[in-house]
Amino acid sequence: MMAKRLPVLIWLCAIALAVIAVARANYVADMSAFLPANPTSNQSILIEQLTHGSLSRTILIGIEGAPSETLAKASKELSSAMKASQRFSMVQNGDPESTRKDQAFIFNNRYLLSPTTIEHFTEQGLHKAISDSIDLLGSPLGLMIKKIFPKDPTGEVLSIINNLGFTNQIENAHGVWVANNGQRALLLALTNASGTDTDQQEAAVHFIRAEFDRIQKSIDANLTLKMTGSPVFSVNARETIHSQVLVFSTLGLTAISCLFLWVFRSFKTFALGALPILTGILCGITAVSLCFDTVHAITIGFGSTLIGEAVDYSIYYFAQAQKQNSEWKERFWPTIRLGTFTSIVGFLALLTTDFPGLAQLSVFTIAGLSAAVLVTRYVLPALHNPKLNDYTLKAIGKAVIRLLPVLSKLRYLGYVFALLMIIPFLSGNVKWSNQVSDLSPVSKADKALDIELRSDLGAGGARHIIVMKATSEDAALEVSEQVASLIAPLQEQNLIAGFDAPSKLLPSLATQTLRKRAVPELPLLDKRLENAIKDLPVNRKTLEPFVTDSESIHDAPFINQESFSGTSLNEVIKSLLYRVGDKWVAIGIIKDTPETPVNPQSIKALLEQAPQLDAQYIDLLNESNQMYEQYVSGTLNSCLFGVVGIFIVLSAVRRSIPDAIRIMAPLVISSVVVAGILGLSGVNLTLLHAVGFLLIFAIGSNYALLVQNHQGEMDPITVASLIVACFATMFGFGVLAFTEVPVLKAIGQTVGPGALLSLFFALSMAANKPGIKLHPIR
Amino acid sequence: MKPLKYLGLLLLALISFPASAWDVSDLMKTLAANPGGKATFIEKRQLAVLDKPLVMTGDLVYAPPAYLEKRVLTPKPEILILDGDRLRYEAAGKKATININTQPELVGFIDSIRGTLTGNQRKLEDNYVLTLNGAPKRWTLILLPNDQQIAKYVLKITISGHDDKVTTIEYLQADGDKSVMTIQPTH
Repeated sequence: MMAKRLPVLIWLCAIALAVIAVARANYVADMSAFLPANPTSNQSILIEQLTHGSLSRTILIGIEGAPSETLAKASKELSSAMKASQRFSMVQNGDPESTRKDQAFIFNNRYLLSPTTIEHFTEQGLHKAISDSIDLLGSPLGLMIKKIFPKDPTGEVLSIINNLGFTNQIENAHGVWVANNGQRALLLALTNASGTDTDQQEAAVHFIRAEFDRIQKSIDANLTLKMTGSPVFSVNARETIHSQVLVFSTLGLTAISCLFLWVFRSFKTFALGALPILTGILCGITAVSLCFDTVHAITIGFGSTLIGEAVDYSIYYFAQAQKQNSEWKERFWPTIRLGTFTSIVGFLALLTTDFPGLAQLSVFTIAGLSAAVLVTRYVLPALHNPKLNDYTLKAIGKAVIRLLPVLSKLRYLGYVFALLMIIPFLSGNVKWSNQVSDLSPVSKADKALDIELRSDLGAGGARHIIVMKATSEDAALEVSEQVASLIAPLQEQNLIAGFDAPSKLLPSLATQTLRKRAVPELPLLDKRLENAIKDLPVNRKTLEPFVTDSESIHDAPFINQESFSGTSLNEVIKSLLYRVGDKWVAIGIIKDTPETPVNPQSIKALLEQAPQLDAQYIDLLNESNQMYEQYVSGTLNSCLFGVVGIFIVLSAVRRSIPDAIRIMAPLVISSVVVAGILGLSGVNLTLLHAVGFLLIFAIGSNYALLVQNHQGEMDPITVASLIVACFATMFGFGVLAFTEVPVLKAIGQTVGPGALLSLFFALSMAANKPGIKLHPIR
Repeated sequence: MKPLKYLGLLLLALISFPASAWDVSDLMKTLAANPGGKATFIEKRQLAVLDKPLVMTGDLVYAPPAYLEKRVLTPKPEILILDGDRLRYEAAGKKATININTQPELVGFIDSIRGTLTGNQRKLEDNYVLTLNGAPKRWTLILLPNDQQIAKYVLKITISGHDDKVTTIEYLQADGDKSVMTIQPTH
């Protein structure tokens, strides 16, 4: 009795330990699972931008559905609620107050900020600048500059605005930003939480939704809230994944449970059947938490579906151990052990990828499968009384065996079909995705809305950037200034639409000093001014405020990062100039428009002229697609290694290469057919499809091994156990093909049909040789 | 006394009758029928910040209902094209396009000229109180803003002309600056 109870005791202790480990584990739910562990320097910049950059924190909001006055009211209330919440580092809705703050900052620091200060303060410079401003007074701009003309007759504010590229103004109605002729009020916000902190971003997004509902009620209007931006997308994605996983795993579980109850006709068996997989999940999480600092939520989600293979173990055990436990141990256990072993070898290959998500998936699956198979072998026999009603099983088995001759003939049709499915490979219909967006759960409608809101707000994405590095903040600004002057000719020739450099907002100390010095002290300034305006229709008295302001610059402090606080420019400068380790990084953004697309070669050539500068051009979209391609090819290679590993293990254990080929042939054919069909239906294969193919081999090899395991006549119970296991897999994975989450869909549409085809080909090919004598299994 | 008073009223009615027969809506109908065309202009601007007025000359092109082009030739070439809500500006090799709705200072001016040229009485009355003096052969339309936003920038706009032609536009701005544009059709 003791010997029988020992495994149960060990199992219970292991479960207790695992529960502790699971409770103590550190879970994260962010995209870092899919970011490389050892990135190149370009990738580090990309990752920095993806995880902490302003892009990862920007929320774009549109409010619609009421006259513009009501929209303005809602926009103002939402903005003040958001500002008061401390969840956002910036909220803008075009209210005159914050625009005034920005304008005041630029106006008060105009001589330090303006690129034309130095040339405008010579005598000729003053003359030219003031006479240009007078000409402008006659133009429509005159209405706007008239007020500041006595203080800024040289037009420094305009110089700054042109230099910063702040020429696209957002439409304003009733004191807020609007678009579509006032039918949409616009807001722009940055979350405090970085792109990696989905929980906090979720809180921020929910806060906006809740406040919007409250405001809607309080002003008694029926408004629509439109929200996009990276935080919104990642929160939506997580919500979709959660709800879809819930719905589809419930569906799958219900289907598997019904199958279990129908086949085994016992609630006890049903409960016991859940033990291997539950133990597997616990042990999987434990193993991951021991091997890695953090456990990615995504690992648990996908891992649990991957070790769905463990459900098959209980089915094999219950079905095959009908007669005698000892017979199962002798006849079937070695095969199942080998099946598990091949699966483990397959998943071991994923450990070699550079992506923590896949490495964790590998550890999770290996630990989970091992635990599940051990529970099946040692714990189930100790708990299970295998006297079952095997009526259904036998009926299934006999029916399938009667069908075998038909299946055997059908296999020719299968071969023909498989050969046909090589055509989509040759014609290029079967292709691997090279765009991250193929994995993105963001719907097309959301993407379109995002593009719309971005163009409304003039908040284009930053795709082409120049990364400049130096040892200090000021040195980084100096590099930025030099790069900006290298790039300037491109803009003058209209080869680029603009260049946003941090040094344009915050000039280096050296530049600020030069500009300050260029403004002469009083007697000299007066003399120059007098000569400059001699023949201009303006008198010295009108320009008194100009002289006073110019003189005050000599007592004014230089500007630094802190000077921006309270303005909306604060976030801009923070996102363009930051510290990474012991280096300061300045990010310059090259504007990309359909009229003036960026030509990477010309940018690179310009930067090569100044090799002493640590400045590098990066196309972030290209970089992320490359990273993704590398990810796909790495995963694909790992999966191929996994398949080769399975082949080697099978050949070694069976001591026969033809035997290994016989076992694997159905799996290869099934994979080709699945890939061919997916290719023909226009699906771009993603890395999750690759994982799916590996799963076909892992699960399918069990079928093939058990089919090949018969001696003489096929045993109805064995056949039935395979059918039940296969249907359980179909239910568990197949339903995923109908989700809206691309990663789940990929696994579902590969493994679902793949498992069925594997069993079909395995059965029909084996049926071809009735009574075949196989090598005794070790 | 009583008969005399009635007589006075009768006289008053007789005098004012012909004038009120031709009113703002008649002028608007006439203006709306204007097929557009070309003209030259001289514009004088008196600005408080300048000692002498700025004088600009150039061409105007109007194609109803939404296209208005102002081509300044002296002292410095400058092109302004109002097409719907888009204002295109070109000067000294620089080009800019703005949506006039983003510039509250501009909307008042632009709406007044656009409303008058197209004879859009309702649009004009949204923002201004209209007073018409004179006769079809020589009329003067005075626009006084009743919209707070516009009143911040514009005190009074006086537009005069004959038949369906506008000949002068005078803007008196809230800060005392004034601009007078004299228009001479070229055909």
